[in-house]
Amino acid sequence: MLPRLAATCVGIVAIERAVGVVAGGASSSRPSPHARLCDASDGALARGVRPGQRIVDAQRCAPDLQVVAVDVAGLTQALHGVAEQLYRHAPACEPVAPAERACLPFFAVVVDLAGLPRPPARTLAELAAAVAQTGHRAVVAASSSRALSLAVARDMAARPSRWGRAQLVIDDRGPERLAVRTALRTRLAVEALELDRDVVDDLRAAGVACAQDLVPLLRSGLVERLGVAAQRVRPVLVDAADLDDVDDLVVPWRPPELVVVARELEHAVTALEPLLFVLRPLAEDVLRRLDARGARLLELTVALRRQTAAPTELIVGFPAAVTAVDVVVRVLQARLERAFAQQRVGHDGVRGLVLRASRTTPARARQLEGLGSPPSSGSSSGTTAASLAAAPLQGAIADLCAEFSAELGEGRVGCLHPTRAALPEHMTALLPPGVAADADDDRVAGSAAAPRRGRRPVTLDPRTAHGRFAAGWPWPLSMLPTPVRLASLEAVVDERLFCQLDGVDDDGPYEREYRVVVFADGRRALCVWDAETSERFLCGWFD
Amino acid sequence: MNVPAVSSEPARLLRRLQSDAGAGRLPLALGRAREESAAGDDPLSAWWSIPGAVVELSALPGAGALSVAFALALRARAQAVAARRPGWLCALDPAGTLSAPALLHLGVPLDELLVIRPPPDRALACATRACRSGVAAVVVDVAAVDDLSRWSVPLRRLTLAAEEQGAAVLLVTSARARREGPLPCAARALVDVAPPGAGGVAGARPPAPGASAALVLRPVRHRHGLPPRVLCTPSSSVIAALVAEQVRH
Repeated sequence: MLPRLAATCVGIVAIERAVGVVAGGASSSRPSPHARLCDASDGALARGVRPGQRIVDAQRCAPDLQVVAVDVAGLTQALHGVAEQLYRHAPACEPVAPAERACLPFFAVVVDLAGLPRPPARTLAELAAAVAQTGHRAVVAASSSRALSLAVARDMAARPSRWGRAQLVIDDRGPERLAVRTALRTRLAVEALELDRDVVDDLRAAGVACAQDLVPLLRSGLVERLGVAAQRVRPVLVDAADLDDVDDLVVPWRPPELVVVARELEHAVTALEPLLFVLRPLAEDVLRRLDARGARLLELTVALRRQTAAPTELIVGFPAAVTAVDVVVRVLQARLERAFAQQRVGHDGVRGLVLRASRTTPARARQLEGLGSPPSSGSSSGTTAASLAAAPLQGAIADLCAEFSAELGEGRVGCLHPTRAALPEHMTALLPPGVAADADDDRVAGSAAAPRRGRRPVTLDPRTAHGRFAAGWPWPLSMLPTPVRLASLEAVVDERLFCQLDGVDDDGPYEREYRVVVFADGRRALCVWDAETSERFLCGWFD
Repeated sequence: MNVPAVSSEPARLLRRLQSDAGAGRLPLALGRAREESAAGDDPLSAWWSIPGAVVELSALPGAGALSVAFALALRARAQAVAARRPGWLCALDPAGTLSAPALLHLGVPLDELLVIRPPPDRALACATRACRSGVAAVVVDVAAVDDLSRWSVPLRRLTLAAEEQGAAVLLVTSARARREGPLPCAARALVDVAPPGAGGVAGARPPAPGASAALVLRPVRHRHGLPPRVLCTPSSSVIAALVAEQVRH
């Protein structure tokens, strides 16, 4: 079995190897002391400096360390030049830039070896020679998986002494597949998996040293911790010999839901007042989206993109969950006043805004509000439990609700809820999705159209139960918003009593008699009989 | 009770149904239009539940088109759930007439049915956005709209969104609405109350309160050729029995 993919991890940073250590990911000339090293000179390596280390940690091994920040744009351009050279040896080459926060930010070229006539080992040697001709150092690894090839190449480039070679062909498609992959995972450092540095730090703190150590963590919430990055880990962990369902464990990951709202401004804003004017609808949008997801805001991150200077980021924490936009805007105003004074934001001008809900909490209180009055003891306790058990909405549906609520207004988007004993006109009321109604309540629970206001429970005719007539009729599927005088419609050929309702409405006590009428063409409708005028009014259609 | 074998291929199913009817084994799948009944096990869903397309059901109020639309939406939902996709339903209800108990009786999961009440002229635009949000089926009830003469363009947009997402769109229109021409839908049927004794079906009794009346779907257009006429025997708003008939045109 021939491996199909080769990852050529190009040592472009070797251009600066004579200088010393190169800090990856930083674009400015003075990298942060917490920036990670992506490569080191031989002298630095001999003194214990390792790629992936923070600069402060590396300086403990080599206090006289010289740090050079790489020019990412220049390296990317050079990488494309290398890829052009490799096109001579393989028909498909893809330059791969490192992730922004990757531990080992090596540039790489992925080469498809499928269909090449020569043996993989010889092709790999040719690829390495071709890269060397461009003046860069390269390690080459080939396997059946792109992610695995990249990870191995990264690890080989970062820890050459451990691997002892610059070219490696992994035959991981044969009968010894499981053993080969397990051995590989045991040798592969967790830094080589292109995970974020913070995640790697957490994993290291949890005792994870190599990729094989991740396998037992799969059942302990590793996928949830990794989030989107789980996709990168999956090809490496698949075929774990001691875990049959690893694929099931890794695949159904749910990406963390982030509520982010951004706005680009046509002109730079230099004053606070117009900036607040722009911020308010954005904050409203964030709150609305959170509301639709059943969450409340605890912390808001505001990034101000400035005209020339680096972006300013403000993190605004709230002591309790907030729902009112006025509160958010007031707090933002106070923070922005300080930012304008201290960081001279106004002097430079703001060209763009990004609001991100960085911390949220489940909206339990909001769900209670959705049920009308605060829950009292007794029958409402079941409602509360049901509300809290409501599952959060799926992201796309939540966004849809938020958009339509903003566009069409409250009460025009939501879910219908079953009511056991309500007036027919209340059966069409909508509740926000995710808010559970109490089936035992005598009203449309939580509906703004049917506030409680001390109403006496409506009594249904004993022949009806759960909104369904004993003879097999449910309530009509289509209820008219206002009754229509039946005399204006076609002739009625048959009529039968449906049910009787009596109770107290806002207008006082009432007694209604509902009948099912059948028209000449066979259609059926629900009518209410007005005893005073002896007239029938159409209430709904059995559609 | 003899229930026909499940088949997803309409022509094969039709032949089976015809042979059953000829042998006196009339297939009456009585019961609610259950959620778990996957699409394709009856002639109604075999012909009229088309994922990724818009199906128009034209009727007068009270003829049962809305019930048929929701029955088809439930079948599309069952298909989506079987494919491990989200099973949300969406109903565009500009008139605000959808009633909760009847939907519940029909088997619609109310907590997974998103009801949107836009102005009538924006119903299709909202349905398009709902389609793009990944719902399994959309029921658009525009039976109260009496002028459909300028609905072709938004309907094409809706069709594209449905194709893109694989959502089934059921468009309920008024049979009396004004049109410049046929709407660009994949299929169109007229829904009407069946005349007494139609097709010799037991459920198609003369309509009387308390008894089950039959609905008939008269195909007008279908992208896979003209399907047979379908009789549905609803217990009021519940699709309870399904029988296929040969086309009589």
